[in-house]
Amino acid sequence: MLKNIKLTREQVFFLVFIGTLGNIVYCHTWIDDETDRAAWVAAFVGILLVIPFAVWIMYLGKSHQGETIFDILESGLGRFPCAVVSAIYILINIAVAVAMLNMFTQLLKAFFYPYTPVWVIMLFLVLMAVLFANGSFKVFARTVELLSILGLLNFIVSFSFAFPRYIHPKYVIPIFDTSLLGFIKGTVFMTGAASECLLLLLVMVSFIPDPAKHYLWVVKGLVFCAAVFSSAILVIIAMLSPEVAKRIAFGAVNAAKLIEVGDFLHGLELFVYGTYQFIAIGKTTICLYCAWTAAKKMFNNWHPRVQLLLTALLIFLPAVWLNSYIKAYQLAVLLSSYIILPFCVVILLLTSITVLLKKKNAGSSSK
Amino acid sequence: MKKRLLLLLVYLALALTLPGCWDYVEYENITQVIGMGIDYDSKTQETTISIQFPALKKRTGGSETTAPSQWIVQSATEKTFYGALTKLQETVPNRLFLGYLKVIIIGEEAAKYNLMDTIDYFDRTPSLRSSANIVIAAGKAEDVLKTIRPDRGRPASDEIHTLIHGSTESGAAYPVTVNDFIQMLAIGGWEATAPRVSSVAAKAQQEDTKGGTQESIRANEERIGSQRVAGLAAFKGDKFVGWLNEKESMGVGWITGKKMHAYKVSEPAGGVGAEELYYHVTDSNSKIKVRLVNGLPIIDVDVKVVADLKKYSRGEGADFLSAEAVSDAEKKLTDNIRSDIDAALIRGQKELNTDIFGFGFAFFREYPGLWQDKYEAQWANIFPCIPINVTVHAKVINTGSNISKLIIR
Amino acid sequence: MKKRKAPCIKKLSAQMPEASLSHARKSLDALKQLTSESVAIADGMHQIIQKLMSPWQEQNIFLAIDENFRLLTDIIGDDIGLIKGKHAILGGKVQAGVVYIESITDEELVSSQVIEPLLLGKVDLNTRQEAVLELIQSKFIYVPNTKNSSRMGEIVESLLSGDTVLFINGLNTALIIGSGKIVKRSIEKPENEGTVLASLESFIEDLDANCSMVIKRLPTSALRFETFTKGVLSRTKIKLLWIDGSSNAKIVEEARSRITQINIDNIDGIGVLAELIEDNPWSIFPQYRQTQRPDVVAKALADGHFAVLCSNSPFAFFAPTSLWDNFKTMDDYAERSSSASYLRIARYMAFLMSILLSPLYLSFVTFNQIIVPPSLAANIATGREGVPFPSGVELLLLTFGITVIREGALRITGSVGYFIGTLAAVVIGQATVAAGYVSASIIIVVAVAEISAFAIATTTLVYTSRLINYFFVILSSVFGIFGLINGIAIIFWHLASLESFGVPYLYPVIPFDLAAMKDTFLRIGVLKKRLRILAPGNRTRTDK
Repeated sequence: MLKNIKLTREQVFFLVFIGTLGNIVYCHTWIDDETDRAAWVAAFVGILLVIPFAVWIMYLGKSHQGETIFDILESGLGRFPCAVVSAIYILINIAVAVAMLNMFTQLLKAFFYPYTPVWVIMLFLVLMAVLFANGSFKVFARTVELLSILGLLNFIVSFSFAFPRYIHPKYVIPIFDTSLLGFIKGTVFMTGAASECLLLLLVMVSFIPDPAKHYLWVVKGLVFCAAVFSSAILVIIAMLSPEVAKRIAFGAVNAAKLIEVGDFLHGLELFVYGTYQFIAIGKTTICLYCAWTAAKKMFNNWHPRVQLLLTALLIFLPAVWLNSYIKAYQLAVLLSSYIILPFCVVILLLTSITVLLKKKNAGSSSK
Repeated sequence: MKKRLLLLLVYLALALTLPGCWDYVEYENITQVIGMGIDYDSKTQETTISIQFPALKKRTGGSETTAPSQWIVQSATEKTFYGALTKLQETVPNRLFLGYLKVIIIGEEAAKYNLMDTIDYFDRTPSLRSSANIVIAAGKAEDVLKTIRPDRGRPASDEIHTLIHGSTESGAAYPVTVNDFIQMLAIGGWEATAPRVSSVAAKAQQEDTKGGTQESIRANEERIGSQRVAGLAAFKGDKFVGWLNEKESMGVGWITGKKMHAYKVSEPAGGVGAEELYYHVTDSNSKIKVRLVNGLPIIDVDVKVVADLKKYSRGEGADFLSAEAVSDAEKKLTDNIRSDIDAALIRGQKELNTDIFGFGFAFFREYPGLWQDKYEAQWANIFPCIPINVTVHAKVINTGSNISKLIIR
Repeated sequence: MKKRKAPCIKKLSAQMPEASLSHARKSLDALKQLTSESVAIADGMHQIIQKLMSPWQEQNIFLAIDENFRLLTDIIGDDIGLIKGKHAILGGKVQAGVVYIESITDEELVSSQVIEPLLLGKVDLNTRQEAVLELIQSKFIYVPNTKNSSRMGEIVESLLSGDTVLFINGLNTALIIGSGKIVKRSIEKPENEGTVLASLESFIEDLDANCSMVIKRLPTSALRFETFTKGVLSRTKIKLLWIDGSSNAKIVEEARSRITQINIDNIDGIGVLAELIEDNPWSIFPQYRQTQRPDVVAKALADGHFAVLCSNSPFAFFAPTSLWDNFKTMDDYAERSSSASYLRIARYMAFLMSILLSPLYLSFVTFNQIIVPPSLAANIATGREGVPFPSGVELLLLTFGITVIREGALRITGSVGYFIGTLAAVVIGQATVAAGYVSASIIIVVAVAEISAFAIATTTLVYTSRLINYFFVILSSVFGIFGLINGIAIIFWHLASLESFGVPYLYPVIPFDLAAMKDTFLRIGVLKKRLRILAPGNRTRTDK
């Protein structure tokens, strides 16, 4: 059944979209000190810079259709190195999910539910993730399509009320008021944060039919994500002024709090928060699914449902234990700056070597 | 499918049986605070917070009372801001809910000494709407909050809210929300301003006819009188430094390009016996440009104003206004506006030494690197000496619905 | 080892006279005789039992008419209205017996088209006995719908369908003549699916009449029928319809195989049939669309769906459907496209309102008060003063109450129904508010949600929306908008997992088909192309 799933163009598009927007929606304020008004440009360029790596993954999947990158690694390097790499991969996924869960829960608590205990909210999110990951991936892909479209619509409609009263062009222009070095630092950080989608692609490439031919789907998804995310940051900066914007914890929800149309329409942060919840649900499920796939591979499909529950527990317990926005923020910054992108590059290098070796062996054996 | 159903049922069962509802608050169990006043006593260093909320009466069966009939003001005094809030919660029957806050009144003393506590609280608490309006009270905020008109029609917070938003019609002030205020504080080169509110007690009435005090908590205060929103309060950093009267406030409005509709009166056109011209300004616009000459910034302010001519009935001259007469009227208006601006500049630049006009911000937008490297740190020093060139262009576009004057026969 | 003593062999018969050889031989012979006799008896009994146990279905017709008549009486009994008659036909040469069941047979036809010509007809003297039946069939029966049979099972089945059976004395083949006539309704207006501008015919309980209504709308040779008979007790005739070349052959094949696998005793109506063959009977969303209107069925067939009709049910259903098909009415295609689009959007809004209004209200009033405009805030607060129930309980009670009222009003007859309806809605609503049991705003919310649920085109989806509403209300009463959004995500996931005969339930939104979007949320123009999955072979609707 796993091998039969073929994702369509829109599903790949939106899965990549949600896969990229994970912790980046919260920790993009880390670089605001360095990029100032150019934060949205840095975001746009940063996410675009992930494209080469994504296309690289697609090409690696060309010769091994229907297999994840880990399958390729295993066939090339043997079980033990692949197990080591898988273990690190699982840990990274768990860390991403823990950071995401914590930051979203704190968003909820800070804005709407100050008295609800943290574990209750996290429990529900993890339960939903288990529910979704348990079903077929194709169903989940369709759900992600729906959720993304709805989240986008939500976002756009809520912020359309901000025009024109709350958008101040003088907060946006001049755009480049920082040094080039600061801008580059910011861009690199954004690339690191956006490379969460590479983590997803490592597993998802098995579901994409004919990856090398359809790499454009992934590229389009990333470009779209870059456009949407950078315009969100642009709107936030225009509404809040960058000096205030760099201090806020929760991005667009803070910004939506300002919007008041007449005496009647206010509190729109509630709707923008809905988009954040969709992102949290989607990302948690994706992390759970990726970790679960890698674990299934490592332990050779031993009682997959039990493995799913164990992985979910492994995400839930550290998240509850961490229980702090600041620590989660620092964790996310750490992951984005130093861990995710280098890890993916290492995996890609190993896999490329494997594929090249295989080709050479196949070439030499066919002589 | 069965497994999915099971999982779903587990989910629902957990949802129902978990002792949830930590945040469940019934509507009638929240106190909807619509106005808040903050005072500070520099002698005793105590903060006083007053809140205004409706007292909801139980509905008598059958009749539908839609509006609460009574608005209560309560205040509490404590050493710290948060202490005062906690003390208030002790006396108020329900959970304080600040999501409907319309107006935040900050007393003069609090604005001078203790603003950051307040602003930080408002900044960090998302449940408080950042579109609430900030006003600075001349005197004590508590007095302003508890003032109510004799017919007890609307509470003070509503009144002030309406007055603030109506002040754009007179140009005497303009609305500043919490968010605007924070932005002005955070952005370098732009000092904060806020409208001023003052209250007047009705004659022949003793102060504090209602209400009692218990351990520095005052409840049910009321004072008959009325409020007025006019003028601005100027800040330097987070400290209040001085008031701007109406003329100066209007000047600030012209300079910063706030949309105001003001009635202006100018000197008479024509010779003796003519009377003043009345204008109604419908649109105003301003551009601030910064030039650097020999390392010294020079600021050019270009103000464009569009007005209707509202009165000319007597006076010499033809029945129809000629082009020269229109130019003359425009010039008079220009002079008038310029005098406003000059008054504002003198007050802001020379007397109070605070850049409430945002010239620094304009400088930053023109020369971001220079601003961040050199000028930001020294702006407080060089600001009083910066030459500011003001050009005003006024246009009179029509004369109401009549084209010639009313001639009485 | 002990040595065994050699046994002493003596003659046993000296002591036991019965042990003598001759005696033993005699007894053995007697035993053999007994055994063979009992074997014969057992054989005979076995034959009789066989005869008794063999289903009369497999039984052949007797040569004698009277025996046939007796068997028929034994099987179905006279009291069902079995009419038997013996006549000497064809000039007295042949003895014939006519049987039919009077309530379901057209007696007029029997007497004038069957018996009369037989009595009046004459035949040659030297016709053979075996050829008589063929002669009768071709020359003397005026009804073309005839067939032969020699199995009792078939005879009984046809009798129960209203056919007349003609036995010929001395032949073991009988002639079955189609003569069924049942009382049926006239074609009336569709009660549950009213429209303004489209046709006003609705299906009735007679399968043939229903088929005629469909055929007259699609008089093309591509329209195909296939008949099944399912249900052990009900023997319901089921007809599967599709348009050859337009529908997806795989989907039709799937439908066929599912219908053939049905194994049930009584098919109550088309709903039971649909539930037996649909993909996921546990889901709250229907994966087929049930309708009372032949024009809807005709349109569905032309679009590439397949339809199923069955006897005794004034409804038909067609599949595969998607969620969006439940919002389309025939009025959309009769009105102008701008009005139709507006109405369709109104229907979607009504559906959303019916599932989202009360949970949103609940979460705004109990958890997320910040979004309520201040002008409403005071109203709601004063409204809730003194109400003994918490908001969530209030809402659930009222929603349930309205459901009960509606169910009750459905069954009260005639003028009493109007009275009770008004009483319930107005008086009870007003009285509870006045007494302070519930707040006025809740009543408004619940009433609006309930009414807007009925704006949806299909009644099945109405109850679905009520169930989703309950689900959301529970979630949002516990968790406010966090729970509500989780609930929405779960419903999306469920929708994404549904498939109807292989077609994803959310098609054409997911997977996306741009050309088909013209008829999903709006109705823009006349659709030029059929949906990709439904009609892969023949997508263009126009000749150009």
